[in-house]
Amino acid sequence: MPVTDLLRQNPHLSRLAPEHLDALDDAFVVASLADGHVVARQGDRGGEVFLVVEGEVEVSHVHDGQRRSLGRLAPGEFFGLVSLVDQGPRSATCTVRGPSKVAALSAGASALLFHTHAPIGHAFQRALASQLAADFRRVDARLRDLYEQRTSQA
Amino acid sequence: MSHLPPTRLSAQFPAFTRALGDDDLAALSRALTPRELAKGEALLVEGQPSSSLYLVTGGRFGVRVSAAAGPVIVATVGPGAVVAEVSFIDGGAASATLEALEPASVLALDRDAFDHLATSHPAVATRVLANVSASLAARIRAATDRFDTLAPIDAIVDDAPGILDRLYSLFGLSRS
Repeated sequence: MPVTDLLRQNPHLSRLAPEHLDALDDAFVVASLADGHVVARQGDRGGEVFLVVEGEVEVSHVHDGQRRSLGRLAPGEFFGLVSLVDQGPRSATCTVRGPSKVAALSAGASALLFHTHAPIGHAFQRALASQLAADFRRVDARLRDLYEQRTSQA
Repeated sequence: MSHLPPTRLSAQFPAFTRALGDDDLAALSRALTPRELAKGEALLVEGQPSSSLYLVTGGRFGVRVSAAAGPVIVATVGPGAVVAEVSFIDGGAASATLEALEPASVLALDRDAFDHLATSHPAVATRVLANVSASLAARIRAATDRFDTLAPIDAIVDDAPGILDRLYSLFGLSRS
């Protein structure tokens, strides 16, 4: 599915005027990636935000040489947002599973776009906040399950 | 309780009001609704939908979550706390019950008031969303770190500078 259709399906971005949606679409650069390609590596610096266009992206976290999966992202989902928001290092590693397409929006392009087109900035900020809320609920739900497992085993 | 003056709003909630000027703070302040709670009254009920964000201005709240073994108070929050950010963004169910442990007061940012702010002062609304996003990002980082102590391991990896490398170098061993 083209990036523009994915953006149009996002409930926050769908409210944008067609020319604003086109401008946002133009700022994304799409890459076709092979299975196992690491799009963002935990600990690295990077302010791009990514959109899953086709296929799947696995989010995992490494601690003391042990890797744990935080879940998988489907087309239409954004990732890389934590570093965009707080300018800190990547909080997790994002790896393509199966042949996939991922669109990237660079920090510079997004800053310029949102500065010159405030409505795009506002709509995108709503989309970002929604994705972050969904990400938090996903991690929180997994944590609760793990706590329950621990408690029932004890 | 009346509206907080803008200067007190920024002093008490620095992260929530980051990068907002005096006029911005005044507009934000007008969008907030003060609310008083009696001891024992619930601000949020776990599992029930919520769409307001709350700034705690007085009193303490117990944060209670249900577990298989029964409800557990996992934390208390007091003045300066910003709560219900996730539900404010997605309108979904509250993940915990917040009950006033003493007479308490909050400033509510209701969804309708926020949407009105987004129309009248879009730049202020965008900044508020950015500040809430920063808070969500911090909570995701904290939750991801907790995850390491609980989750099963998928794989042992040696591409990261991990403890194994430090042990190998400590004992002067080479990795084959």
